[in-house]
Amino acid sequence: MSDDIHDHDEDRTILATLKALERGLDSLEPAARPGDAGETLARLYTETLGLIPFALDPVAPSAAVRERLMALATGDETQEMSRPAPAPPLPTAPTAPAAPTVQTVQTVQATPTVPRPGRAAVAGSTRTPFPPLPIPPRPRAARRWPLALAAGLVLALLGVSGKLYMDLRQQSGLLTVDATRIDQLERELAGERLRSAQISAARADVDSLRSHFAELEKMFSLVTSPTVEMSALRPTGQVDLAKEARGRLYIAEDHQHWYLSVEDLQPSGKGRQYELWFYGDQGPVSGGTFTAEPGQPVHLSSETMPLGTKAILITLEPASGVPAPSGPTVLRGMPPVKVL
Amino acid sequence: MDETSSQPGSLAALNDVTLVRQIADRQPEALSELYDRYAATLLGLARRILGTTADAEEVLQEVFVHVWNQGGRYDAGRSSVSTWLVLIARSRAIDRLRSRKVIERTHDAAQHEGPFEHTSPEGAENVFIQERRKRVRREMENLPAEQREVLELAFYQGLTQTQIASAADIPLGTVKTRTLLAMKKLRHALRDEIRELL
Repeated sequence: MSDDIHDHDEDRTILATLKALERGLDSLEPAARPGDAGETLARLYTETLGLIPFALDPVAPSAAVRERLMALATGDETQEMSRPAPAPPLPTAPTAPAAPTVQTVQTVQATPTVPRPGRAAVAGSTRTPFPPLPIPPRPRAARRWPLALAAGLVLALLGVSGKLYMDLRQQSGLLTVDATRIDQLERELAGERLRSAQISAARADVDSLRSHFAELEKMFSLVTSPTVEMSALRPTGQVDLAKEARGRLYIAEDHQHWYLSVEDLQPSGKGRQYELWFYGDQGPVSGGTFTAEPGQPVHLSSETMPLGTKAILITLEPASGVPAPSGPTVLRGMPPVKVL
Repeated sequence: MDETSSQPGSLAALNDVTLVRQIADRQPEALSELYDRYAATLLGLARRILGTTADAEEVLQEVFVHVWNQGGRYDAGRSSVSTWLVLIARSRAIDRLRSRKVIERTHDAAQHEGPFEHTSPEGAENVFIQERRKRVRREMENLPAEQREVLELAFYQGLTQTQIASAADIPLGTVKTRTLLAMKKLRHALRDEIRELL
C-alpha cells in the first residue's frame, strides 16, 4: 500500500470515491497503470466501500429467484422475471433442469475445499451459445428517459410556439398600430392638402387683393394728384342703355396714365360690347373693351394714351371686335379740366 | 462445455474473477456458483436499502441477470468481483428507492412485515465469506456512532454529503470530517481483507 501518500491527497481521494459512488458504477476509477495492480488509493477505498454490506445480516433468497435465474441462463425463457417473490412455482424446462444443478453446487460449497473468493486465478473456459437474458424492466432508468425526452420536446415545442405566438401577436399589434398611424397620417395629409389649397386660394385672393389694392392705390394716387385732369363723360342719347349713365376719365400729368370710371351703364346685350376710343392726331385708337353689369360700376385704366388725344368716345360695338368705331356712341368725353 | 468447468467441485474451487470469465463465456454453472457465494449478502444489502424482501429479490435478480448479460464488461482493474456486485446491487436498489412507487410500497410493507426476519444461510455459506462478514461487522461496530451514521447514510440511502448535513442537522464540514475519519479507519482495519480482494 502507499502509506507515504500525503493525507491531503488521501482525503481528496476518499471524497472523490464517494462522489463517484453517488454518480454510479461507471464513475469508479480503474487502476492508474497496469503495473499498479490496484494499489491506488482510489482502488483501496473502492474496495473498502465494497466491504461495508458484509456487516449486514445475510438474507437467504427464496428458491424461486434462483430457479428463474437459472432457467433463463440455461435457455428456458418461460420463467417470469418481473415479480420473483410472490410468484407460484414455475415449470422447469425438461431439457435444462435448474434445480439439480443448484443442489449440486450447494453441496460442494459445504466441503472444506472451498476457495477464498476474490483471490486471482485463471481457469479455462468454453463458449456455449446461450442467448442473452432479458433485463427486467427498471422503473426508473427504462421508463423515465423517454418520458423525460418527450417532456423536454413538448416543453421545447411549447416554448417555441409560445415565442412565435408572442412574436406574431407583437407583429400584429405593430401592424395594427401602423395601420392606425397610417390612417391618421392620411387624414392629417388630407387636412394639410385642404389647408394648403385654402392657403393657396387665400394667397391668390391676397395677391388679387394686393394687385387690386395696388391698382386702387395707383388710381387713388392718380385721382388725388394735384396735377390730375378730369374729363366728364355724358350720354349722347343715341342709345337707351346709357340714358342714366355717367363717367369720368382721370388723366395724369404725363398724359399717359389714365383711369376711367363709368356708373349706371346698362348691360350691352348678347353679341355686343362697349369699347373706349381715343381720338388723336392719327385717328381713333381703341383703349379697350368692356361689358357692364346692372348696378356695378365699370373701372378701366392704362399706362398709355395716344399722343395728341383730343376726344374720348365709348361706342357700342359687335363682340367680334372692330378696327374703328362703327356703332352708336354711348358716352362722349368733355374737354378735360383740372380737378384741384 | 469444458469438462473441468462443468464439474461442480472444480467450480467451487475457482476464484471470483474466473467465474465471471466463464459467465462471460455463457456457462450457467459459473453463474450458479457466483450466485451461491454472494446472493445472501446482496439480498441483505438490497433489503437494508429498500426495506422489503420482495423488492430486494427483484433487485437481486436484476443484478445476476446483468452479470449474465454483461459479464464480459467486468474490469478487474477497477474493482474486485465482490465489490462490483455490491456496487451494482446498491445502485439498482437506490434507483428503486428513489422511485415514488417503491417508496410507497416500502412504507406499506414496513407496516405489515414487522421487524426483519433473520434468515441467515450461514450454514451453507462460504466459510471465508463468513469470516469476512465477522471482521467487517466488528470493525463497523468499532467505529464511533456518529462516524458510522454518516457512512451508512451515504452508502445505504444514497445521500450526498450536503443532504446528510441537512438530514442530520450538522455542518457540512463536520459530515466530511466524520466521513473521512470513518473511511480511513475502515481501510486501515480491513487492510487484510482488502489485500485479499486485490
